[in-house]
Amino acid sequence: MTHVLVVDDDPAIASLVAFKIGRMGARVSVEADGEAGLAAARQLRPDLVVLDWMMPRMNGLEVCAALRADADPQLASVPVILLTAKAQESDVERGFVAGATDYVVKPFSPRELVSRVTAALPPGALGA
Amino acid sequence: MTAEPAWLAALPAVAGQVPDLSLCVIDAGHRFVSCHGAWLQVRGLTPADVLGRPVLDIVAPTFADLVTEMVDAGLAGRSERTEFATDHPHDSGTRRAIWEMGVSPLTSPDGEPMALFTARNVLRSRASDAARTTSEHRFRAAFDATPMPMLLLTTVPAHPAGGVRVLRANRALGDLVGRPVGDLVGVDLTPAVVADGLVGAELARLVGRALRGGGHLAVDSWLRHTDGTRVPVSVACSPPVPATDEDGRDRTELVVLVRDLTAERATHRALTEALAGEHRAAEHLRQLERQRGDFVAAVSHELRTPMTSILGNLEVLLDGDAGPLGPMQALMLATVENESQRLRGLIEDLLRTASVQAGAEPAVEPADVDLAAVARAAAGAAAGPLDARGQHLRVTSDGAAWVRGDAGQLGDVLTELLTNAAKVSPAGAEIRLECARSGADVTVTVTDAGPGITDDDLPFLFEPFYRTAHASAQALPGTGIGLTLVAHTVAAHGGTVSAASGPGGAVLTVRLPAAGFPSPLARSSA
Repeated sequence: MTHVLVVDDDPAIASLVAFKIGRMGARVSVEADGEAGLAAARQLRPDLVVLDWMMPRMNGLEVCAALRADADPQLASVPVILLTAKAQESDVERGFVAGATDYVVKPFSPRELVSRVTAALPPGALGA
Repeated sequence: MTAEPAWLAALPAVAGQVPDLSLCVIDAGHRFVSCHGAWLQVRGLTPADVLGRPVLDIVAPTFADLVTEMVDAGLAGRSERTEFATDHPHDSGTRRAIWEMGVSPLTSPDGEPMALFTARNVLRSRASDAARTTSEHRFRAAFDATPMPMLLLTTVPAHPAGGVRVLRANRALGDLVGRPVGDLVGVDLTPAVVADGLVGAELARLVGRALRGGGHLAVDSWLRHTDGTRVPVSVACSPPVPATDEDGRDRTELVVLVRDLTAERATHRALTEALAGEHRAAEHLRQLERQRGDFVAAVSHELRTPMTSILGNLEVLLDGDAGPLGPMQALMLATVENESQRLRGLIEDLLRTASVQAGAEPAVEPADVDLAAVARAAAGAAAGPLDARGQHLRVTSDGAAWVRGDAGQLGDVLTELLTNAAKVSPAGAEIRLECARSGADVTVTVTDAGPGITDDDLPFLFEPFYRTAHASAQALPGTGIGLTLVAHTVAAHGGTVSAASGPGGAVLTVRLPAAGFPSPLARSSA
């Protein structure tokens, strides 16, 4: 079963994203800060990570960079979708430089997020 | 012809050693035993011409008595001196001479009494003394009267420390330190004077170096004023000049030139302080701007995150993802979504305004942009609101109109103007957009079919959150931020936006410098 890790310190958004992705038929794990998110990613080896940028302890960019630098090649290449309220072009650039696969600006539509998650996973991963 | 006696053989050499000196030895019979020097030359005679001849045959009759008397005195064992002036006949008229004459007794090896007669023409040395005195007077007058403070210093050979003494000080220098000139003359520039804090050590060192033949460059130092303050000065030395004092001892003199730096320093200090103040103010402004930028970023996050949650959950509910909705529930949730979208728009407008005011707006990325093409694209973007009201947009342009700027930002400007026009114009009305070259500018005018702009509204139209009386009365949607952002973007492109009320409605004109003409872009890529 496709496994998606959602890391966001805002429980309302985390649960909305988890609900919507869960409805797609994926297994979803949720973490509420960057450090816990990175630890969970190393332990669970998810197929995709949805990552908030502004979080306590480790921010999303740092988690993303740590994943890309991981010794495990599967984890180093895991698709990462960055969620952020930072909408400026320079912020988007920083996100991609840190290794993000895609970038979604808040406020976002859950439908759009689901489309992006689908696109970032291998074809047929969600059985849709 | 009588020969000169051998014992007087040294006489010509002695006479030749002193300029203008004549030496004659005269015997008891008042005859020349020997005679050499300037006097004979003045008379046009040689020593041989006068040898053995009576004195009275040679000297001019005017002096006959005087010379006879003096020779007699010498023969009698007395020394005498006298002086007189005369004009000697010469080839080209006469030649003036001032004779200083003396006589001394002399005894020949044979024991005969004789008179040694000396005559010296002092005219030349007198003239040279007079010239020197004149020159000295001129120097002193200039020295005393010059507005530049100056000191004449001299080495003091007898001084135990081999010191330097003030020989002369001018009035300007006295004024500078608040002392009469007389108080300064005779002051020794000893290490003690430096230690007492009367002059800066740099000045003493400069004088020392100058006396050793170097150090003519100006140095900064100071002099103590009688009121206790230090007067900042720049001092320079003349090269040292050898001189002789009244007692004939060698000494070295030099002139110290002093420049008062008080005004210069005060100006410099004032400038430095003003500059530091400017720096502080600029740094304070930068800090405020950073704080405001941080605030905008924090508020963006805080406002957008709950909006994401509200709109996302509404979307999930309306999509039926969380279970089927009854028609009334769906209608009520749709209303919530509409209002939430309005709130979101309001928040985005607020954030953009704050961002513009914090200077955090994306910089203009200048490129050559065809404003006519941008206008056509904006017409497409505004098609929704226009179609919704059955309005018709007429776009006219006289070909490409190139400006320097950011196509995306300029597109937003024109879309905003068209959306505004659609809002204020009645259903089915015609709205016009015209793009044209106008001299060194490109203009875009948008003419709506609304009620126009009242004189009351006109001055405030581009102010943040200002809503016209018409917009408020008709409850037209909007926050009053659109035109503020338009004005800001156009200004950042070096252009202007203006509004007028025409017969058909309001006319808004954007004027931008045409590409190829110098454009004062308010901001380049940051």
